Amino acid sequence: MTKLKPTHQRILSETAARIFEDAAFAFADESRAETEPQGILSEIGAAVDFSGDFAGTLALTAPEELATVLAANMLGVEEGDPEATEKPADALGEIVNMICGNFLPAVAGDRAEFRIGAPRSVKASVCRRAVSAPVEVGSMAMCSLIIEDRLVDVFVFMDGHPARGLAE
Amino acid sequence: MAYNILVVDDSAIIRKMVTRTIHMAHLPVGDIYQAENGRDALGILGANWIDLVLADINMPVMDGMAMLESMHNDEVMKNVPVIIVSTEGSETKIEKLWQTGMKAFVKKPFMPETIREVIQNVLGEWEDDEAEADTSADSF
Repeated sequence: MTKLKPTHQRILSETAARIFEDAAFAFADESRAETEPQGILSEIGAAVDFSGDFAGTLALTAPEELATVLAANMLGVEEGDPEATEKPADALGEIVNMICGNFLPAVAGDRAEFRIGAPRSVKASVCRRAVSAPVEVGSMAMCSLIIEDRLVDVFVFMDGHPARGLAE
Repeated sequence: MAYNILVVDDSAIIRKMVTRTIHMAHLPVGDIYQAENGRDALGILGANWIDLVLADINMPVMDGMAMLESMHNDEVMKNVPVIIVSTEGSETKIEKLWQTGMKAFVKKPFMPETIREVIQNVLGEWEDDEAEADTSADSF
């Protein structure tokens, strides 16, 4: 199994912040991520499985209201527009897809080949449970970002991690 | 001349983003068709006159590479320019796409200006009526 290194966590954080900025015009405040309380917000999650030079799952959790804001920004419509309120999961799925597509070559190099599966919805609680499971060092990476005053978590579970695939 | 454009992506939000970008580019657009995967795209290509395809790579049912290969092997479809809009980061895969007839590659996330510039390069210059109207208005 390929092991993730501490530098990969930084790459994940930088990649995710850039994608939120470029795709959804939402800026990350990494300095607050460590201290921000979780709050009682309804969270949704999205994940993509990847295979190739190495395999794993990349997932993202975010409050549903933030996902709606991201959808509005991506579509160029007002917040509250039905086009955006109907698509929070789709927006999150596309963002997780873009993070994965940009994270993998940053870690494995431009010549590495990967197949990235279609984005799917996952429960945020499943991601949280997966993080608390005892695992081998290097089998996962995680970063937290504050986007538009809301906490977003990004996870990478490598092949061999018990949460790989994030099955219920 | 108005261009008929086909946008192929399994994400409805990306199809809308690309469509909005095309409208923002002031390109003379006829009809914009949408497909969720390569197989549906081939069906639309077989039944309609399409001037340009913008397609993703990773899609269920039939991915962008398989769609491009099918187009490349068809006497009529091989002449339709294809711009790939994808998160793909592998240089090896991108080289294969060039060999299979891709005309341009745009990496996601993309800026609207990038899509406009690439479409302009692929289709050639077009008269920007709105920009011309603005210029005319300025001159009075």
